[in-house]
Amino acid sequence: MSKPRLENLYRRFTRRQSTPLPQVESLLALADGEHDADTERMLADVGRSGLHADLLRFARALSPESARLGVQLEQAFDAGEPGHRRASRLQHSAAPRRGWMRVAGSIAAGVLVAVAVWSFQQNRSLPRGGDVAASKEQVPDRIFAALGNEHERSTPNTKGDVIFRADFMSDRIFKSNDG
Amino acid sequence: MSIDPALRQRLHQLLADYGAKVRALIEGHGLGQYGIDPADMEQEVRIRLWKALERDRNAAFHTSFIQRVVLTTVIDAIRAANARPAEPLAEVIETGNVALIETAAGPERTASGIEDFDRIMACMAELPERRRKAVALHLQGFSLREIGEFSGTSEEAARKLLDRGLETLRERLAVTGFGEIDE
Repeated sequence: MSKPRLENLYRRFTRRQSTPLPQVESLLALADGEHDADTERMLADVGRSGLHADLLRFARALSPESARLGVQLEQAFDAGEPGHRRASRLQHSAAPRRGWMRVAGSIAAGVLVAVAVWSFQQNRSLPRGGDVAASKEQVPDRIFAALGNEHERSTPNTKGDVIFRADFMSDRIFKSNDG
Repeated sequence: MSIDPALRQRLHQLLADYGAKVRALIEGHGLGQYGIDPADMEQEVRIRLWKALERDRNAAFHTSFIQRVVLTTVIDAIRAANARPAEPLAEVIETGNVALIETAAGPERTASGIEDFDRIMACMAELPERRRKAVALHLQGFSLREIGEFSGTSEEAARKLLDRGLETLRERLAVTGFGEIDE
């Protein structure tokens, strides 16, 4: 008696193996070519079980027909119910929009945090109310104070730090409003 | 769900066409041998997809959803078939009123087959895992391209794994007295 073909023998007996039925999700993932722990386990089962192998082949063969049906159903609804297309597209686009909103939300939150930190630092750098009362009248530091001398004229003896004051030089550089 | 009669008819027609294709695929892939009736599957798939359309029509447009419905239907049916009491004399062929035992599957041949199969499994168990997977998938009838795709390797890498695996398998089977194997 001649030996049966190795693969015939193998398939005949692995079809009789009693293995747990496959999980649909893992089977579909493997059929789609995905690779993770579940599909690895499923692949091992496919090697051991003829049923799993047949179901995997079936799932792969089913894919183009299922895609075609999906398109045909959508077209039928579009033709039969004109308002359907808009509602359908709104639902289809919901996921990407949610993703965009997440990004925008993150950016907004980042800006808020930055503003809060900046405000906090600004407040810390200003003198407290009690310190102000104890000191003489505060005069703002003047840098490039070429303009706006009204304040000085009204309080001539209370000068703060002055850098590049235009009025201490005869050239009157930067002093534009004294004509 | 209120559906325009013309649309309803069109949807039923689409599901009927798809159901017929599913039935053909079930028959073509030999799933009937696991105790399911392809005609029942065709009907069940149509019913489940119609209910899905009534529940959430947009979901039914997705390929993966449709595939999931079909596979769930088939696996549920196989589970139900497995739960039924085993039918006696599975290899009996009924011809008219006379029941004949299939002569090609005599007890001595079946016993020999089981012995050979056990020997093959024992030898395969000794192969390195990746080679064993490649050999098993090959013996299950998958192509090199499919083996590569499932394993996450190239077709060429799959071919090397398979060649080395089969070579080792042949050597081990020869040692056990299996003789020449035809693949």
